[in-house]
Amino acid sequence: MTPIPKGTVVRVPGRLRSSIVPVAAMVAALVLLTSLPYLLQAYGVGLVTETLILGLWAVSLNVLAGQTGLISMGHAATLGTSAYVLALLQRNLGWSFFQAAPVAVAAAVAISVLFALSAARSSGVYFILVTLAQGMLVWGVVQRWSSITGGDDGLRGIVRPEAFSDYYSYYWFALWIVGASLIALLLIQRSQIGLRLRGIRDSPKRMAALGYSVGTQRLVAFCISGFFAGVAGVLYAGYVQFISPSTVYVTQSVEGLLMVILGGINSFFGPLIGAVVVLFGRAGLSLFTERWLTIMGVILILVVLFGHDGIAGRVRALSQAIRRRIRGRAE
Amino acid sequence: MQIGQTILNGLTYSGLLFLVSSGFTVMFGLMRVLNLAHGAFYLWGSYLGLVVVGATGSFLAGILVAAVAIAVLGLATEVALFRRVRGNPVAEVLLTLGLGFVLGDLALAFFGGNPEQIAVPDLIGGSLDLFGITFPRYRLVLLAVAVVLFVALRFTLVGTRLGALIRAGVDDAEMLEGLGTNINRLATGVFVVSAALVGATGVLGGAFLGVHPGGDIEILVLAVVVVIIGGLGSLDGAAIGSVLIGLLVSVGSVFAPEFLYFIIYAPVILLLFFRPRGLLGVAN
Repeated sequence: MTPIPKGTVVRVPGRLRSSIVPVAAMVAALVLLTSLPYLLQAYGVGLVTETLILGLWAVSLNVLAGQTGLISMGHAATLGTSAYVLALLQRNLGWSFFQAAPVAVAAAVAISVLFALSAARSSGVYFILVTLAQGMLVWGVVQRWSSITGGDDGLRGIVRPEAFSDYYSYYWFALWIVGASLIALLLIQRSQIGLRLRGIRDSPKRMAALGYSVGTQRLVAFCISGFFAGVAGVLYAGYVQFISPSTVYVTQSVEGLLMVILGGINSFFGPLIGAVVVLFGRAGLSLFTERWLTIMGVILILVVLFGHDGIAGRVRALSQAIRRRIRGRAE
Repeated sequence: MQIGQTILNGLTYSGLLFLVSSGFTVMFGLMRVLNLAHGAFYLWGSYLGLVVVGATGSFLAGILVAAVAIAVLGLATEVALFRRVRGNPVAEVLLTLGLGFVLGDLALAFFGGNPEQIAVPDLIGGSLDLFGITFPRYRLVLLAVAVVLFVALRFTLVGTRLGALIRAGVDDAEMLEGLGTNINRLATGVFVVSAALVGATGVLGGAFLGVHPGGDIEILVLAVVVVIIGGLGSLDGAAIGSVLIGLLVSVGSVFAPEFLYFIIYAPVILLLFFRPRGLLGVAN
């Protein structure tokens, strides 16, 4: 079992007071971000839109990876399932965005439940391999079943909600949904539900002895993670207005893991920071080089070797050091 | 006769799968190291083979160069990366994943994106008439190589002192170390041999399936499926898994090509629900 990292604070349930500061910070950030279309061009706003959406997706992955200790290599499948279902309902049945979105999110939850059930008895390295196979299964169906999914050509013509079809109004739409989702995820993490998930990560035997079924808690984690990955998938489909197998592929899953690990697996906002670094980094580097996968691999290797707790962990250590120094001076 | 053709196709594919997955599974059994860069090693073996066979015209030279080069790559990986994170399986997996991406992408940069094919030497090229089925001779050779390798590996593991050490390492690494075996050196040796094996397999596979970008992940995922069916760490398991998956791939691509991957992965996921350690997996 992974040891509890140093500096991990086990929060007392019910003390929602401790959530006030981060929630307030998020509301402030939302207000600031809302004014962004007045400051940036279409390209910049688009990049921030994508970062928000995939940031939410990375945070949803971290419900499994960080909170529950389940490193999934198939999380792109959940994102992609929701996006494909939205696209198919729109194209084949003529449904509107808002009609199709709930079904798409439900599909993401459903596939997550299937994943959870099939991986229910695997742990450690086996869990990683099972989730890899799960992801490849979804990718394989999407890529091969070309009469329905368009195969490698993907599906075009995903329609945004009418009121949010411009780049800036869609940005606002995504911003507020991502913001609300993050607040919900934060509250879940700090509730008894989140505490139980951390319980099965740190000490599955004790949790079992206390009467909590590890399998049930895993299922809960997969459902929460799947729901918000589904929300991200719907938003992503609306943003790109196109979906292809590459969104479901293992490369995408690993990119999600990179966001989580780079940002900080033990932090709630870490994966968001990771998403910012990865997506802005890729956008910036694409001007100079096509070797993004090489760079991504090198970053992954370096983070695993040297940066145990990601960017968020470094920031936390730094702020603790500063605080200690200030306190030392005061005394 | 189509059935016979399909089954023979599947069995030869199984041979390739066993060549790829045997090193992977033995390595896991010994050191609990899951090398997700295994597919990238294979792909680099293929490309090196392509270049050498193209330059010298000798298939054997291609195999040798690929085996030696990938063995060196494996040694460097083991010494520079794996030893730093030994004992932390998740870190190991992520590390090899990162390495796999780097190697795969660099292969694309060096060798371009066009699919290539390694030429089969005349001696084992052409086709053969087998009970009324016309079948490429090369694929049968590949199957034979796989069978020979299985026998050789099995004999090494069961019948030699080295094999006894490896099996002891699988069962209880700490005790073996206490008895005076340098387990690090043993693991490095096994890793290098496994790398050489997959490098050579890259050349053999490149003459069978061709060489193309993304081939690394394709073959890796199939190897993963083979060893999780058979049980991580089990050589016999890898053989059984190879035969099952090879036949599934072959039958699937004939009868339900649109659902090929579903046919491959769904039984695996189902199996793992009932037998989380595969058919013949080692206990933790």
